[in-house]
Amino acid sequence: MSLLTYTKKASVALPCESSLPYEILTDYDTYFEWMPHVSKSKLLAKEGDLAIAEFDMTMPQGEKFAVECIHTKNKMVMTRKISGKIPVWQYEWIIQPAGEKQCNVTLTIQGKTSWHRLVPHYRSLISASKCIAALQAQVASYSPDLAVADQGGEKLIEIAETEQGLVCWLRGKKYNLTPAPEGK
Amino acid sequence: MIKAVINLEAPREHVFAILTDYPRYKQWLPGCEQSDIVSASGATTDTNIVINSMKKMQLGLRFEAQPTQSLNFRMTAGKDMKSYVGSYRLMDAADGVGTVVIAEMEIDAGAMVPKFMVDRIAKKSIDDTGTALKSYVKKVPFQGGVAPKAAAPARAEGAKPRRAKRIIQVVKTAEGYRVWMMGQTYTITEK
Repeated sequence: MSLLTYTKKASVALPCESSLPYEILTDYDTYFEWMPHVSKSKLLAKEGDLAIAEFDMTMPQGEKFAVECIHTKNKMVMTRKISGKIPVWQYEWIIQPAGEKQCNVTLTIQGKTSWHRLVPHYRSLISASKCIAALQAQVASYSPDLAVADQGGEKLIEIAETEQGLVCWLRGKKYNLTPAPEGK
Repeated sequence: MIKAVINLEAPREHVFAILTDYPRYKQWLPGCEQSDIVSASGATTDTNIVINSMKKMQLGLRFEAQPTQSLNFRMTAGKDMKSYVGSYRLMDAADGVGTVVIAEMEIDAGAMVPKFMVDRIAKKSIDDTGTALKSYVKKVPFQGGVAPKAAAPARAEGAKPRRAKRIIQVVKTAEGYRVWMMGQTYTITEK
């Protein structure tokens, strides 16, 4: 590592198949749900294992960055910056299976050392541990094994987004939620 | 290498046709005063281009086209720069209409001009080219003869059932209530 570049690395063990973090990492339309300081995310184009995506940042407001992404199914997602001011060259996510329903995810962030790194909002984006924690939280939304309820206690209420729409479990009974008319 | 993503509301065939219509570059490429084909052989075309931007420059540019996929270019003659290379890579937009162009450019102006300055000029040039291409694509009707087929949205390609996503969960425990919301856990205890 030189003075002009930096590398940051973080890992996490996840109690799920490799396919789940891979699906989250390649679903570019939903990065805004979990990636720190990303307010909008959009897949622009996809051909085979190459995708182009664009992200809007919450702060500095309106700032965008575009990335090109290369995938290896359930193993690797590499995201390289094409345009934008964020002080990152690339994010490399490596997913390794670690037994039944277990996998390890390692994130390596590389970039150029610049004053931009001092901007608080950029700091989250270049923090491998924060990005990994955000991925872990998103994985938990899809993986019941990570959720707190499974540690015991009485489940009072749970709301989940499914293919059938919003579903609510209230004291063990399932309800399908339908949108209420505007203003009601 | 300076890069940019250009979103165009036109089919890929149309965009490719415009990018390879070298004599018409002067109609849309910012600062282009002259663009003549010197020779053409297969996918390779040699051109003579005059650009009047910060300075008037005459360049010999060689284009190598891969139909509807990409267009590479590099300087073959010229006194004002040491090297000038770049490419346009074309992809169908994920929404099923339009084209996404990934433009790349690298300029070497020699040891006398600082790289950061050259990169800044290249960035401006690539952004201006994108803006000009966007408006020109809208103005010029598609000349391909055959109507471009509607591209299938890229995201439909690998579409599969979405996993159920937990949003909120409230659990009553001996210690109080545990609220799990969007990946974060909160504990509520009685005072």
